[in-house]
Amino acid sequence: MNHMKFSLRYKTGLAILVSFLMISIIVVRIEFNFQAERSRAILAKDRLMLKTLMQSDEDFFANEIFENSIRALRIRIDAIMKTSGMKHIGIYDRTGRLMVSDSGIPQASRSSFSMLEPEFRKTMFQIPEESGGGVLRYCREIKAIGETIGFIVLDYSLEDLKTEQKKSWFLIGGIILTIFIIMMFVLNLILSYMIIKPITKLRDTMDKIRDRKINEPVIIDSNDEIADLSETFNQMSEELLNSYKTLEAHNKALKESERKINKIKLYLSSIIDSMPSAIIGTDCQGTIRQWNREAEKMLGISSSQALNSNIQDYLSVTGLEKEDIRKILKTKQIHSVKQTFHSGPDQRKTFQTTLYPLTAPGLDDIIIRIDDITEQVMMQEAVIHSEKMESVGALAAGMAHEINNPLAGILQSAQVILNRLSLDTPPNRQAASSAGTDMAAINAYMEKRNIIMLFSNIISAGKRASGIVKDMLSFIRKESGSFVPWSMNRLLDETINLARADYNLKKKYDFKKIGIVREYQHDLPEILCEGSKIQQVFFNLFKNGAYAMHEIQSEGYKPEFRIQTALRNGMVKIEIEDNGPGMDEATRKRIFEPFFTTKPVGRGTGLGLSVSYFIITEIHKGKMSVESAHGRGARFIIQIPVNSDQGINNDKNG
Amino acid sequence: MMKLMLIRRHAFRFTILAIQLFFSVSAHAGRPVEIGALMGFTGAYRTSHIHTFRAMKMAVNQINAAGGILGRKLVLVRLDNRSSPLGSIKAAQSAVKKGIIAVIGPIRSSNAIAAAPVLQAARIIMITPTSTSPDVTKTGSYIFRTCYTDKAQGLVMADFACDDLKLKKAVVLTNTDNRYSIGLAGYIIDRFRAKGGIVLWEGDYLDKISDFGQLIQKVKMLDPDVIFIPGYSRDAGMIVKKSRQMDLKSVFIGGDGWDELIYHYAGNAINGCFHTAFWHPDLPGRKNRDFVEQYRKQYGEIKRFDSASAYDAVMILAVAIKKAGCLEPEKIRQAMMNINFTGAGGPIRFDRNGDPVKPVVIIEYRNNKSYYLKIIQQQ
Repeated sequence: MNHMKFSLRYKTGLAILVSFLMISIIVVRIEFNFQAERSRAILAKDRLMLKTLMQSDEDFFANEIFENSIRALRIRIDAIMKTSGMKHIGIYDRTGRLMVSDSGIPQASRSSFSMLEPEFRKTMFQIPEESGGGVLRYCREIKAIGETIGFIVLDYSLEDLKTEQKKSWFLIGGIILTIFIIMMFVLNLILSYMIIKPITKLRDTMDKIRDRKINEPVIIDSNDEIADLSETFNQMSEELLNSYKTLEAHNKALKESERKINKIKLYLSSIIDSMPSAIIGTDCQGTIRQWNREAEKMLGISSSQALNSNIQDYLSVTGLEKEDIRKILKTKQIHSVKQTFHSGPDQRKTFQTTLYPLTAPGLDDIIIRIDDITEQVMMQEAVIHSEKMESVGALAAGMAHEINNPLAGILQSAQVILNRLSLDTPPNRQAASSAGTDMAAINAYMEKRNIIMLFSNIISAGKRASGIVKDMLSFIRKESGSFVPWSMNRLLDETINLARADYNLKKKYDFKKIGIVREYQHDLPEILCEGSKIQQVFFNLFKNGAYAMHEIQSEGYKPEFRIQTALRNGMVKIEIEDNGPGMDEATRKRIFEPFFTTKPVGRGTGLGLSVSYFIITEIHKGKMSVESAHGRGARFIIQIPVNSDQGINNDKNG
Repeated sequence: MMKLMLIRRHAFRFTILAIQLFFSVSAHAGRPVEIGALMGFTGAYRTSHIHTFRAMKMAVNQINAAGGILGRKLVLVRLDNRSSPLGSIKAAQSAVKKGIIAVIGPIRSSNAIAAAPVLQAARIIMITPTSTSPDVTKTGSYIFRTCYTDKAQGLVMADFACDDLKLKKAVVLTNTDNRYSIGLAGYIIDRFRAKGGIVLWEGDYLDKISDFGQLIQKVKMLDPDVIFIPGYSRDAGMIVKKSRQMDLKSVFIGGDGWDELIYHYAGNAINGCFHTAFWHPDLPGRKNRDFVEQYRKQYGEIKRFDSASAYDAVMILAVAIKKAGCLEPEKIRQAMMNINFTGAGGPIRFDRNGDPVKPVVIIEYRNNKSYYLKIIQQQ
């Protein structure tokens, strides 16, 4: 019962009250008629009395009014006023002017005499409204000798009538009240004993049964419908009890299965929630029904916010298009969309969104699965890159090896030729004299033909080629002979000093003017490495950075290196960042390829960075990467495992 | 005084003879001459007015016996005023309708004042034998009376109380239904006060009431020496009777409204009271004696003291008509004005208003009978 409860007793009381009210209304109505009848009779009596009173004295009044016999009228009025109930008498002459009244003879002054209203200038009875029904007014026109002599107005009190009425009403009120009290007592008592008590008993038992306290039969000692009711009820309660038992058993089973279902539900939802993929379920209308935890994390929208809204609202977030949804609804085919998002300035995120319809019959829902495949993509890229580098390196090394032997022959021969032509050694002198000349002549000839110069060119070109080849050969040389512990901070500082001392750097790029900001972690563990090679890598990076920064000629520009060292996940991470012009994405991707250079032809071999990459990744099993955007400088990140046995591991970002 | 009376009696006889002679000549020629007797043939005054009517009837009979007027029979037409002023108007109107040339009556001033304007307007001679209110004859030239006015009467009453009875404290009870009573009361009070008397209270009562207990109770508390009741036999008689019952000892003095009929109402309680009247049967004079004799023969004892006045009124009218020689109202009126007549009630001459100068008789009730105590002549 959620609204007000009315007890049976209350209702019985109400019924008694209603019947009482009806009885009262009838009684009052009848009394009203009686009253009216009685009032009419009394009124008629009063009228007759007043009429008789006036009629008996009409002649006298006529004469006295005619004679203007105020004194006589006065006495007459006094006499009439003695009649009980008489309230007021006014006697008016034929013009309606007040001659005399019970309140005295009006003043003679003409201005103040009071006139009888024309409406009263006739014989009639009236109950004036202003009296509230308390006065019966009798106006009588006094006529004699065929003309109107004057008027008499009598006000007769109806207080008696009213008192009579009041008394009568009091009596009726008393009777009604008595009826009411009797009804309340007797009917209440009867109803209480005959109906309410048995029913209350029945109800109490029902309450007990409802509360499953006991199962006791109701005993009603009467011979009426309530006894039948209790009989039926007893049967019912028995049946009910049986039903309860069956129900309880069913309930138990139901609860068990519900528990299982809940468990499955929990299991399923935790599967969905625990999935590393964002799972979004929508019905065929696009209303979101499922939004798992990963979706919250990935898309930054809480499930409470997303649920029950339309997937169309989140198209931009999920990287889907309307067309995708429409297509999947039409074809019921798995549909995959790969999408790359830039969700931060430096963070590149790649998502793969897969849409597929639920295959269970009767379900039109669509599941959208979004996977963060950033790592995967990056891994793939890295693998491709390293494979590429390795094949290029092998190619270069093979080529260098093949080129190195002939080149050595060329250089050796050139040197021998030069020695044999220019040096004044006994074998040369012998040979020259035997050939019919002397060394001086040969020298003169050579000088004249600039041969020595040409030979020098051959030698220097050969040496250059030999250098390149030597560099290329380092791709295959993986010897770890000179691995000693090195502090990276010290290596960096030494490299900086070296760079400052380097003639080329000093002259061409004003290296000393470049600001160096060191942000070292000082308790770095020493790393077992080939110090000179690492130094070579750093030197290369400084040289490249200096070159790049040198290109910016704008006023107020302060070139600066920012060097950071830190220990991350068992690796020492070295970051060397310049604030030069940076590079575009295409350049960035190819920066570590051999022979790739942005410098003018002849200025760089295009091997510096690829060798550095090789030194770090192959020789030291570390990682090397670059982050850059055009116009924002470049940051080279080198990570070298502290324990070189670890080799390349799978740690994230480090 | 006796001499005067004697002369009057002779004159009376002569007149009757003369009339009888006159009428016998042209006895009952032509239509009868109708004159009206306007009074209360029905109503409250019926029992008293019938006495007055008898006197008038007697006069008419005598005139007709003597040959009528102008050779025509005189007929007395009853004009009933139902004992009220309004009835008097109606009666006067019916007189006009009937073409009556003259009216004797009404008996009371109120009624006379009511009827007079109607008759005056119709130029019908009206002679009232008893209406003493000065206002009556003021209505017009056709209105006459054969009695004195209240002014004279009131004076006599007050004087009598003061001078003769030496009474100082008075109460005046007025029958407010009658102009006569109100008017007379005024004159009494004025004179009594002028004489140095004290009027303790002026009480009012209605003509037709019967219970005077409350009124008398009040009077008794005031304990006056004299109580003036300028009313009529009925009311005055009742008051006197009740007063004596209530042990009120004061002297009662009434006016011409009183007559011997008062015994009917007051019984012997009236003994010892006084009132003024126009006339008394015991008055000297031959004419008076003849009238009383005739009346007694016909109707028995005379109860009302206006009988002579009524008788004389008819007689004066007959004389005036005879003098006028025709029934033209104006001529009769002029004859009336110039008349010099002596009747049962003494000599009558009308002044400009139609009022005669008449003596005032003081009556005393004693031994269940009325006695005339005094006649006061007026200047």
